[in-house]
Amino acid sequence: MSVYEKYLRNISKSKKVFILTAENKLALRSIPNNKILDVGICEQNLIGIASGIAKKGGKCFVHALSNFLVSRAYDFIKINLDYQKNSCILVGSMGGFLSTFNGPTHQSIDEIYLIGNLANFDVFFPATEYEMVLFIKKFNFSRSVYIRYNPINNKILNKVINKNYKPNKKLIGNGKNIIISYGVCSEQIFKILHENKFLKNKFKLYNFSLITNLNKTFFLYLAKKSNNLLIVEDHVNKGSLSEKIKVLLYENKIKINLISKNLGNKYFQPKKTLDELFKKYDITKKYLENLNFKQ
Amino acid sequence: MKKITKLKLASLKKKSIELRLQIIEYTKLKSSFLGSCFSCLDLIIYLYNHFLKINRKNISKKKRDTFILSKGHAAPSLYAVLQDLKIIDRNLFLSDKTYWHPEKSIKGVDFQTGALGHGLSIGVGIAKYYKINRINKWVVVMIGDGELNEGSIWESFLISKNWRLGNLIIIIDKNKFQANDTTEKVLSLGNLEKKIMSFDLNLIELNGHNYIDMNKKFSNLKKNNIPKVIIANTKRNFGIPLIQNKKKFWYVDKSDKKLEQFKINLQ
Repeated sequence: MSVYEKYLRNISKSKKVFILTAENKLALRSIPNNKILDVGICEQNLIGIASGIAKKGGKCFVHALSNFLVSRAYDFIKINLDYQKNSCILVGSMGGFLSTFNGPTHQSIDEIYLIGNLANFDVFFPATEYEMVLFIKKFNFSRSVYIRYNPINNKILNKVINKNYKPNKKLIGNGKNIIISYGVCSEQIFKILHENKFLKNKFKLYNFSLITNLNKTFFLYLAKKSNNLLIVEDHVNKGSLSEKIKVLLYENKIKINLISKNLGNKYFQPKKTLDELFKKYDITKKYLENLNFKQ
Repeated sequence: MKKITKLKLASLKKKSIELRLQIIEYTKLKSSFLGSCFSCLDLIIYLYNHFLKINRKNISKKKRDTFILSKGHAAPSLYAVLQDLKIIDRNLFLSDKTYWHPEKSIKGVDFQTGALGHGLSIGVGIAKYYKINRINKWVVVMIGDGELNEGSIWESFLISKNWRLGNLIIIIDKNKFQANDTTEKVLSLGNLEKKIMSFDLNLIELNGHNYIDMNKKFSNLKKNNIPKVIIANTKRNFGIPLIQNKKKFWYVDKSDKKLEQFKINLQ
């Protein structure tokens, strides 16, 4: 049983807690069926039902495949959760690169653009499942959050994350060049840096899992420490973390050499495994070794 | 369920006229979807005055009967009833804070509706919450027959049946019109009764302008394990013979010179 399932099983003893799904159990495999409200493949109803439950005081954990959760039900999310402030936790599976070999119909690569621009929503892309649970434990339902579910379990990374957990903290490295990333890309870069002393001394990796929480002070601090910033993400350029950071830097007249590595405005080329995707999109040790900001 | 006494019936009928007059006043100020307002007004008057336990005292409580006007463009009818029950102030009803669809900041509006096809799923969620937490209250959702064009409504029928939500009452305001034409012409529902029966829901038909018939049918409702679907046969712009049951006058603009005539024509 995964750490998230353990957590859910524990809190679902309360009749105020509702685990909902639109026939997607990727994050719920070990949760007994009688603990889950499965609406079938009806994502709009999934959100409508969750908003009704939330309105009466229930705490909803709402699951579906990311693309269908966000895009198919967007009107319901916007009006019934966001505008009417009925706070829920939305957990989307197979977002970004995690869709691997499904192809464009199942790729969810624009959640920051869609959900991150809603007034009462946060967007959270954890580097591991453990990070997701740490985040949810502190979540108070004063706002809604969309979580791109990440089943990765990296024990070394979990140890690093666990120390006085807060999202958007430094994970590894002492170098002058900054890398900002989230989700599976964060974990991939952590692995590369962890195994390579040279790269650990070349870079510092920040895990920006809570994408909607960018603050000016942090970037002013960054600018003092370094002139070089690399942002790596599995999201389209429009509305991406890098776009948000660029606006923030511009508005605050902060000058940094910035390289942004994202999906541009295209669906990504499906690959069977995450490793193949990282290779295809050059999120690799070799890329980091050769990276020169002055080019 | 209480019987409707002669006195009560007279009072409901009086409200029916008075509130129509008020909605015409509202329309003179802000325009409205008058046709839709008048087809469901009598149902809302009945629900709030005789069936649902919603009043000034419990309006802010979470655990109470809940009414969702999914066909949100009939909001003036809901507001007229809320102000009649003194849940909201008459000045608020006529103020800039109210507009053509229900506004969540107004007391008594549980959900901001109007985007069609949303309200029923919300009602399903509330009914499920009540059922699991053993809260013995009704959840009533009113949808339009035009709203049945939305696929999400049919999904909600399936889910409510599967979850055995006997505390859920779905009222279809069947005035046989949608925005620009008859429901038959825009997207025919065919045999609606048969379609709903095929979902194994508890189907009831009533006259949505006859309080005695409404009370007879609502009195028999029980919170068993089957959701109820009430087909309320109604008429667009009911109460104004001049425009009743006609394609035009779904929307009435505040500048319409006939508005005064409607008041005189009101029955």
